[in-house]
Amino acid sequence: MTTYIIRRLLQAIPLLLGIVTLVFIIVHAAPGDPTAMYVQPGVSPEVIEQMRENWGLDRPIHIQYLSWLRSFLTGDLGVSLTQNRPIVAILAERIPNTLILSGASLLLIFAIGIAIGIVQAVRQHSRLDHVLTLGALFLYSMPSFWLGLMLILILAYKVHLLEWWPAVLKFPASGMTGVDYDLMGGWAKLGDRLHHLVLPSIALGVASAASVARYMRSSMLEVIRQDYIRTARAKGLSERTVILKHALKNALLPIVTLLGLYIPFLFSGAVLVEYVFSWPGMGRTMVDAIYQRDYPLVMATTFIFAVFVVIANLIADILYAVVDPRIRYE
Amino acid sequence: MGAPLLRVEDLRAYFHTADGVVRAVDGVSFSLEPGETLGIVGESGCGKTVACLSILRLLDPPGRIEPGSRIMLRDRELTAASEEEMRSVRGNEISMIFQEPMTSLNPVWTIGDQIAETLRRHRRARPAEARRRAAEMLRLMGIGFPEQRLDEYPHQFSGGMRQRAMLAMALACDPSVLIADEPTTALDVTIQAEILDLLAGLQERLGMGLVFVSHDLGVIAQIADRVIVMYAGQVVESGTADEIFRRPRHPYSEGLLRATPRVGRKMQQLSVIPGSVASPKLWPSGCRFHPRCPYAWDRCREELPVLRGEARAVRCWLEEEPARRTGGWDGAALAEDR
Repeated sequence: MTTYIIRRLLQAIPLLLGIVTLVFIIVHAAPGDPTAMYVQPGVSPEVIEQMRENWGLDRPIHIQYLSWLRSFLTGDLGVSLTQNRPIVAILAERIPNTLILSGASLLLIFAIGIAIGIVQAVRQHSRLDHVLTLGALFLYSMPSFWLGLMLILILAYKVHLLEWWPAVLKFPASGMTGVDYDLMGGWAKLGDRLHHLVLPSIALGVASAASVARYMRSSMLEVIRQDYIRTARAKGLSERTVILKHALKNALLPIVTLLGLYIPFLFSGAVLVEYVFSWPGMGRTMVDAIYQRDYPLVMATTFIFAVFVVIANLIADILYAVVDPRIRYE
Repeated sequence: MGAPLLRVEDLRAYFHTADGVVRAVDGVSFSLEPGETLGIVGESGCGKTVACLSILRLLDPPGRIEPGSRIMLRDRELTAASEEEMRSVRGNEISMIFQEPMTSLNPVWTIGDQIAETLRRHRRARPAEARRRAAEMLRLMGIGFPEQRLDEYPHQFSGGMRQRAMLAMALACDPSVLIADEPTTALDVTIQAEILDLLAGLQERLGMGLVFVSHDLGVIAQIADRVIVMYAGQVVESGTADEIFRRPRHPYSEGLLRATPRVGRKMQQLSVIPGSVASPKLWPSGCRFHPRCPYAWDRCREELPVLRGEARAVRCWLEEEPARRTGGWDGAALAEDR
């Protein structure tokens, strides 16, 4: 297993290299450069030209690429051209925020999706099954940023006007913490963070949860027809044990594959949702960096996302072997 | 002696589907004594498996046991038992093993876990105790190194070994009835013989009643004390194994026997029963076997014969009009062979 993991990580190196090269070409092919935002009536073209020279943007593109690659490989991600801060510092601040949001969403996607899928399969063709199918389709068809806006409008604004609405269900509209966060005690801090996490993670995760539920339902229905389920019933096991022990683990096998597939979606979704909820994460940083042609920051954020996706896929493959004893990696 | 170990009376199991009622099992009765082996024979689709599943009340909807059917385990009426009661019967008093050992074990749990589970469920055994007993069961089934085997998964077992593991699971709680639904059909002939020997030996040792279902008369002849022959959801003939195999009285049993190859008997061609079992949605009128019967006459097309007799019973009008037993299978088989 260890050899397998090491081999997979080594295989990822050329992949990541290919990705950053491609991104480098694409951002530089886009019109404009980082100096554009400094162009103002009071700033003379010579100053702009001087900035370009300082940042090395006047050199031929392949020289720029090689010099960027050289410092990148030595671990130097450079300095953000717009924030004038080391990129490492920016990433250190933003990465955990994005991981918190995507982690919460991931948990929501799989916990809710799997639970609903099981219920639907067990109660196939019941009214509940139909209602959940319709609901899943509805949520699945909804764009995450719009859902985010609706959640803010209703659960973070309208309900605040209602006297009787419980305070716990009045959610904050943006940010990761409340204004009085620094004055809170330990538990209150945790509560405040969780409270801020609810709406964005729902906005980010609900569509995927709906599709996981669809997959889980059909996977479960497939498993329930198997001979070994009849064997389990013939042993006198309760329906609960039959479903949650004998059927569930088998039904999860195809779902584990989804884990690897959803992670990239989750990160790209995070870009929009972080914007809507003013969540100080990687997604927002990346979008801002792209708009401002902050080349080093674009490269660094893209690279980090690519690494996340590679790792997530590796984890999915390892999980596969954990759930299915028939799979062994050499 | 009091009530038999297991008594099935007028068992009817129907599937109420959108396009009609499928009468898969239509009035089957039999009984089983401790230590006895009852063979159930018949072609595919004649209701054997549905009958077995009904005894454990394991039919999936839309299948259901019709009112009026009775399944008595000693003096308990299983058709009236609650689901909870049934769960304490399944795997504990009545166990069942299935045709496909390859797919009947759960691929993602270890063999040991699957055997021990039965013990934990019915005997409230602690994990260590259940494991010890599971190893003991595997050894009893003739599996070497049972301790190591417990931690293996079904895919690491061969077909024959999986059926042994199924048996270990089924017999772990020492049930009084074992229902074996074509347990050897999917196995190689040599493995098949081993499993049959094992079953016979276990039965002698544990004294359980065994219901053995097969379409293979050779296998039934080897293992059964008494035999019932099923056709189109009904019993058409019953008797001791000897009686059925030496002197079959129902034309269907006759045909089945003729279609079984035997060592030492030279045959140019294996005879067949022409046609196939009718659809259970629309059984033929009169005797359900008449479209394939070489003796059939008008009465067979119109009236369903009753099962006449007690221990030795036959469902055929020939019992009333024996003079009509002329011609028979040779003509029919030839007609088909042409």
